[in-house]
Amino acid sequence: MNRVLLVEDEVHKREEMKQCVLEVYGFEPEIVDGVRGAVVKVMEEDYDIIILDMALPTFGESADDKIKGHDQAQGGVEVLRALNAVKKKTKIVIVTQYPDFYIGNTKVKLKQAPKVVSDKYKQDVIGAVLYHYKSKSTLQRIMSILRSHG
Amino acid sequence: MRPTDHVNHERITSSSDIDGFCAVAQDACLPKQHCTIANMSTKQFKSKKAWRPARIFNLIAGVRDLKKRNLFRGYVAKDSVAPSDMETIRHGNSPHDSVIAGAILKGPDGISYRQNQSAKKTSADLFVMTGFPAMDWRNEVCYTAGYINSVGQSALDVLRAIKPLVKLETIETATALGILHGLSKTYGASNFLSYKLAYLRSSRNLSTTEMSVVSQIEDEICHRDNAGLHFSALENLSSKISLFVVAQRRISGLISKVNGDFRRALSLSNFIPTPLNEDDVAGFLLRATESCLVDTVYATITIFNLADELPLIRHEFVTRLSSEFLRELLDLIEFASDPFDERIVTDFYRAQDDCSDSSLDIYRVSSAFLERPALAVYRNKLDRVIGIRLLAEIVGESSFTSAEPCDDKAVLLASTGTKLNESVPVKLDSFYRTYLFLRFIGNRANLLTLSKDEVRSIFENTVGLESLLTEEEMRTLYVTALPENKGLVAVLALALFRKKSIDPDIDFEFRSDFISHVMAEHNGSILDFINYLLGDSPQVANYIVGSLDEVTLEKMYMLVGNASQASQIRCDILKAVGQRLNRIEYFIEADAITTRAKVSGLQKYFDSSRMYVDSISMKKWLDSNPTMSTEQYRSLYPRIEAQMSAIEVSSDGEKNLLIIHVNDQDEYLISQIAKDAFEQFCLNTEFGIESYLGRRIRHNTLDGVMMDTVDAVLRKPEYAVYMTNPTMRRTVEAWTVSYKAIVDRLRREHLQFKATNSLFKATFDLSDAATQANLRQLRSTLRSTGASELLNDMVIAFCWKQITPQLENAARFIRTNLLGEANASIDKAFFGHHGSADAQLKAELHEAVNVVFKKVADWFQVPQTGFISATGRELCEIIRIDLNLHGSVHFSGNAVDAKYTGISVHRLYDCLAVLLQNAAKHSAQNSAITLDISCRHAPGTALDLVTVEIATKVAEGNYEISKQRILAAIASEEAGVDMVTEGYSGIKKIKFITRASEGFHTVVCDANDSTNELKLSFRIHAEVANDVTGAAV
Repeated sequence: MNRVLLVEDEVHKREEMKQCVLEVYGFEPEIVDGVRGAVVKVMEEDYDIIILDMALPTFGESADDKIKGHDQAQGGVEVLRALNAVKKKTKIVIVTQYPDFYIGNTKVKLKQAPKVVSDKYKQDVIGAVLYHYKSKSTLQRIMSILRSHG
Repeated sequence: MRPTDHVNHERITSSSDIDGFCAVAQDACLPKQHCTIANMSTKQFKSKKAWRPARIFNLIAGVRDLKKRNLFRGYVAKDSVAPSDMETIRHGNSPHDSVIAGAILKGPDGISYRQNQSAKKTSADLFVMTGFPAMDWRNEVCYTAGYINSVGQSALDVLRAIKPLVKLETIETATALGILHGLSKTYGASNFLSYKLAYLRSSRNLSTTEMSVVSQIEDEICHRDNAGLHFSALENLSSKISLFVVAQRRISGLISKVNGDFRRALSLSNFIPTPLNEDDVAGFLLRATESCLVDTVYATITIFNLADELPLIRHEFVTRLSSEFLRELLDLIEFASDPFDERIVTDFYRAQDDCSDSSLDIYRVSSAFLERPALAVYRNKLDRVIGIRLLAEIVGESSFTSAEPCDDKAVLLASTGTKLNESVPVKLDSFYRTYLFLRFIGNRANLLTLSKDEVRSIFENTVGLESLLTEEEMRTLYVTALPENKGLVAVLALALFRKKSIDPDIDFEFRSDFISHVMAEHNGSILDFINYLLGDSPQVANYIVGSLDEVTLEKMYMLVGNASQASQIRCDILKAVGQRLNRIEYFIEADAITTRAKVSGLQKYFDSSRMYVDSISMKKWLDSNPTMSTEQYRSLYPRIEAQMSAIEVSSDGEKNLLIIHVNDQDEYLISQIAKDAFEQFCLNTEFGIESYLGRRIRHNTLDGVMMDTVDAVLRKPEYAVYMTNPTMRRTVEAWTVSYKAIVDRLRREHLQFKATNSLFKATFDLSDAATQANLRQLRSTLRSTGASELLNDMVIAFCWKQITPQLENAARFIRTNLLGEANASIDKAFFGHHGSADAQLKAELHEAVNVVFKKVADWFQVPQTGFISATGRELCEIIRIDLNLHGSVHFSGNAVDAKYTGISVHRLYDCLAVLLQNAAKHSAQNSAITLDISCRHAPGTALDLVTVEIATKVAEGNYEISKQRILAAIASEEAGVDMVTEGYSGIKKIKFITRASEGFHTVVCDANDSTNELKLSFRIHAEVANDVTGAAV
């Protein structure tokens, strides 16, 4: 395991995810906090695992003009589309605060996400986690997924 | 069946194979008096069996299929039959038996004859869905012929009633209306009558007297009981109404009800008033026979006029119809076969829509003249291409095969005005070119013959492609385009696609193609690409501008690096296209973007300062209102220090040991001070969070922002039209109510300090680990700084730390739980498939709700430290942007652009927000708001005395109420509680704020009763910004 990309805009969640990666793999993930950053990264670089939030701003706080841009409720799906467009298949861990999201305007339960995303965007979804704030079990679940694909 | 349909009938069918029972049927026809007596008898003996004349039984005897014959016998005994019974009766018949079925079901005293039906059909009778499916075309023709033959003379009378209206355009209006009135008196409602009347109404400027005749006709057809029938004809004919828009509206309302059969609903069927092919003939005829005899006869004439297109149908009719009816029908067609009269499209009609194309006008008007062969043929040709695409969502793309592909590129690209070889004299225009182009792409190979300039030219000189092309065709256009055209076609297809579809996957693909094209051909500059298009395809550029909004531009990931760049590109594009097309609205939008960019820093500052605490006032308050704990702490403080510095010797005599006695008396006191201060930090009505929650969030802002965001979607012209559909309107209204309830709950329950479900509390739990950590840090800071003078500053810093988890929790709750609830409410309200436009509306509402909940969630954060400087004009701009306040504001005064800083900026902002909202809410329509900001410098200080006056004209009906309400608010006592309540507390809030600043309130209202103008003003001392304070954020 060499390269992990963490796509997350919320500071607390991001910090917790970062710690998970550090604990499991012993290194910090690369971090982007907006859809554009993630799309550009995945098109230009290869990652072993991408930890992906679904609801993201277009640019994020780290944008050079400090304007987050419009929020994209399904911003994570844009990253999956980008991966598919450049014909890259990557291991994906979806970590979201919503029990369901929309793919092609169809509501998808988080539990169904691995199959739907794998079929539609040709990615290897190794986990889909419903994130709870400051929840140990959430973090354990994420770490367990990461460990099993170490 | 109307009694008028069954009187004087002569024969049932003319076909030779059933001649055997024709005579019997005629003999069996009972006099009307007999029927009545028989019916009375039926009632008298309360028999459950329906009475039928012998003629019906004779007809049944002619049915060849024995099982069906028995079935008929069973059904004729019933009083009434359900649509499913009708389906059973009609299903599986031979053509011969279908002729008889038409007579038995639809003919006089037949099975579907309703005893108590009024003599004439009403609009409500006609404007219903057909209750059972059509048969194959041959059986449906036989069934129709059986029906027409069974009513005999009545059918001939209908032909004679139609004849005087064939050349309606040549008849003087009063006479024409007189004929229509007569028709309505005899036959009541019919789609035929409705179209003729709609033609007159849309083609001529009717006088009051003439309109009174129209009203009489409407009374005859009971128009007011069900306006849909006549409106359907009007919307198809009137040049004032866009055919594309109205088709979308009807699809949206009916798609879930017709199960793919557009002929089931009259208002859908009317978009294609001629049969598309043999298969469609069945539904076309069923629609007519289920309406009335007039429409059945008219449908038959229409089919005869399409003899070349539908030869087998015509032949079947000729075989089945009575010779007398056939002869008169052909006579009528002969009469209607005069050359095209250009007067059919009147100047009045054209004047309703200056931009309309002549070929489109004839297309629409022809629907009222299908008894004229030339117009029926013209209409049918275009129906097979245009009409079917208007209803593509219902009929499916497989039906597009009705039209022959057109390979004639020369005609397609001929110059506008070129004469065409048509059944009516039309010249090439945008609408006709669209028709040709849609046929042209029927053959994919044709696309390979088009050069880049030709593609551009076609897109420039066609109309409504976004409605008429299917998503699949857009894809085909792209896939089949020549390599050198691919980029351009992808971009054009994207523009079209974005107006039509909501599939984000396809949207992504098109965006990717757009990016590739702009990078390859225009060095990555979107503006360069737009300028290229503007060269000779301004309308194409216009198309594209419509699809390149800021949100889309932000998603051009490889071309656009940040949000500011996206705004700037949008701004540049708008200016370029606005200049080329001379469109002022583009410049207005560009200016709005520029203004927004200028104040974005300020806006961000205030957005992050909604959960604010006026720390200067709080510190003052704490200084002047010390609690017992504070007093004790201050008196104890020196002793704490002294004890910490004492040196002692240990009991075992060991020397040089330093022992410090830690005095922890301050622990309890600091906790108590923090607790008391935190309560004020949260609840104080002058400076506390509750006060700012009241003035900056709950008071109108929350409702305004959350409701206006979704209203903006519903207000869009493309959706506004759906609100005329009662079902959609009810759906939207129901959803709006549920959404408003969520917003209200957020405001009333969650964003309060005292409610049960509150997200905030002004107390803290000493056993909570985070609180303990915060208190430990406060104690340690106080001990290390070694001075009690900083106590209040430290306590305020502690309060922000203590409130932070609550703010985060509130943000999370809004962003997840409440947003989830709002999204679920959309899914619930818009459940089911209602067409692509509805799905698009649903998707946009989801998007809007996601955006606004996240925006509101972002308000719950610790504000930026320090102060910002701002001018009155800038503050007004951010308030207008935040609250989406429309209408112009005229600025004046010597301090409009004077910069102020410190807490005065916050006070000015809060007061201006209230006044601007009130002015926008109460001002008369199109009335501008004038805002005067003037100042007088206070000598020897860094302060200006700023006077702000906001004036606006109030609508006459509201003026007195508004004035009295404002005067009452000014006269009443304001209290701290007004800062934390909503409703009519805006002016009281300004009074409170100015009193806190000036020692007395400064709000004044001037009313000018003669002009209905209300002017509200306030005065406040404001700290003048210099270069240093201006940059001190």
